[in-house]
Amino acid sequence: MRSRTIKVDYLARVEGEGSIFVKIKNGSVADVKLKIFEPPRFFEAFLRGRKFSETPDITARICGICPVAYQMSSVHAMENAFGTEIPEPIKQLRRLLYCGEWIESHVLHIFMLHAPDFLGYEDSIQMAKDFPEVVNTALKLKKIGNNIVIRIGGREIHPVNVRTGGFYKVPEKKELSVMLDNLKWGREQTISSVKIISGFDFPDFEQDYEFVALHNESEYAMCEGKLISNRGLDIEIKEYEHHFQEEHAEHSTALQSSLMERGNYFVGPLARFNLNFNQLSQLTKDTAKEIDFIPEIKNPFKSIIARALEVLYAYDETIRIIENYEMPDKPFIEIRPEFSIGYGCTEAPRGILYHRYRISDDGLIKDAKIVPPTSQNQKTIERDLKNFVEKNIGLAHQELTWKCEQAVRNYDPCISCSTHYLKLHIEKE
Amino acid sequence: MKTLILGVGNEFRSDDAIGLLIARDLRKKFKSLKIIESGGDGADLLTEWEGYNRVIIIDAVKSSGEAGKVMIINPSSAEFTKYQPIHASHLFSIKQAIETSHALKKLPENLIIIGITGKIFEIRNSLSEELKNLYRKIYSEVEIYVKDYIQLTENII
Repeated sequence: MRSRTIKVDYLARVEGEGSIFVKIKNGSVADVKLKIFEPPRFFEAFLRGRKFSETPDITARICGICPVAYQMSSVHAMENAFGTEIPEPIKQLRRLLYCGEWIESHVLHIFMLHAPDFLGYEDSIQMAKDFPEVVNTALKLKKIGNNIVIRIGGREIHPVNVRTGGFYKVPEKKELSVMLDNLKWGREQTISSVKIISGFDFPDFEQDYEFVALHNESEYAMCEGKLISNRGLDIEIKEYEHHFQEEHAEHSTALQSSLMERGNYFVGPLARFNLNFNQLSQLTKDTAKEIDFIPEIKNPFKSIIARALEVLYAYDETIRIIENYEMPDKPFIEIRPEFSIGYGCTEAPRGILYHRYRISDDGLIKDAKIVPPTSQNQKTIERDLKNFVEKNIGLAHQELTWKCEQAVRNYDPCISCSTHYLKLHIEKE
Repeated sequence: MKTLILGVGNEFRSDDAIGLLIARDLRKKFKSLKIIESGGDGADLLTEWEGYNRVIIIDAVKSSGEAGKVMIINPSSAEFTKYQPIHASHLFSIKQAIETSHALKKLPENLIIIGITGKIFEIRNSLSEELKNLYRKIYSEVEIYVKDYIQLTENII
């Protein structure tokens, strides 16, 4: 029996320290594992005994790419615990900050990490030689996102201005208005980018997924709403642990999430787009219709289009928020802690991020639970790889390996939050 | 000449913090120079160094040398191909940023990396004992390299 092995030692365009193992036996896929071997970081453990007010600063350190998501889920959980009502202007400012992070994160992934796959380049450096204008535009688009995060959050990585109840300091309208010209330029550029991206060559690979996202009838959900799916899930955030479970798989130091009774599910831009299309801005919906990208999209390789449309939405939304911005009377609402349990779930760039905290009377955290989006997509990534390899088993090893890496990148996995690299190993017997 | 000094690293990854710590100390001494700290996101650095014609990056590196060894890495030298920034894995590394900048014909005309060999890069908010003990020596060496590079590139102009 002939045995072949393909090994990719350094897959740089994924965040995370882990590997993919695909074993092909007698012409069919015998085993697929998304192995994560980064040592556990015990954030939930060392949150115990810390003050409730420290969570946005501590949890932001989990990820350098999406610190705002950790801050937003943690402050919403705390405010839920203590029944704090947040005034609308502060909510809008939070939404603006989150849009900045979506822009930063999505643009980086689309142009620097994922687009080279579709254009046949080894990486964005090679792509930059042939398409300097595309890369230059992407860098400017990302920088505008950074500037939003700096303006609201104090700095672009691990922002320091977020606190439970609001912000330490809020900007005046004129401080935000100066960004409008750049934002309008970014919005126009993104429309062009969406059209270019929609013209990429996508593998024929439609799958049946349970898409899960936060849903809010009045806006494209980022911070508030219920959890819904295309298979009937419709729950409040506090019910999360009654419907979702985490399991430890021997090959992964990250817990794998699944829906009780139904198994794996899909979170992130494609899930949000499919479930919340009606809540997108008119411009985003019109652009999606123009490229004939209408829910329900079941091809994970087309996540890059959903991600690009979310960049467009984020630009459109930032302009709307800034044009309607009224400086809050107070930057934050004072919180008085009491014994309670709080739940928060917001839409990180890669999908829903769930936080739950139990707080004692003196405001100290008794225990914490954090479920990041990538751990929720792990099982789906493994299933995609299995189905993709089975469907394309006749491809030459090199091409199959490339496509498998691309299939992983569809999810923009942040295995990291402490990552280094991902190895892909395909073994054929 | 417009100069930017970039201290790069992660202060929660032990010796990876050395670039940040040195940048902080250099800032106290060279008040007229633009000295910033960075977590090492190359995509941001690409736009950060735009408009500067002299850039000095101070970064922890993995190498076969002794912990604390200070080395100069020039992007056009053979050493650059061996340069392993610690955060290389994090998305878009400094090395990729330099290569992309070069591809875009936007690489600052004078750019060097001052690399410091680290020993421990695990999650920990303090330097390894080796780098702690050698810190003053490492700082002095870096300061000399910074001064020399500024002087050298001034003379070129």
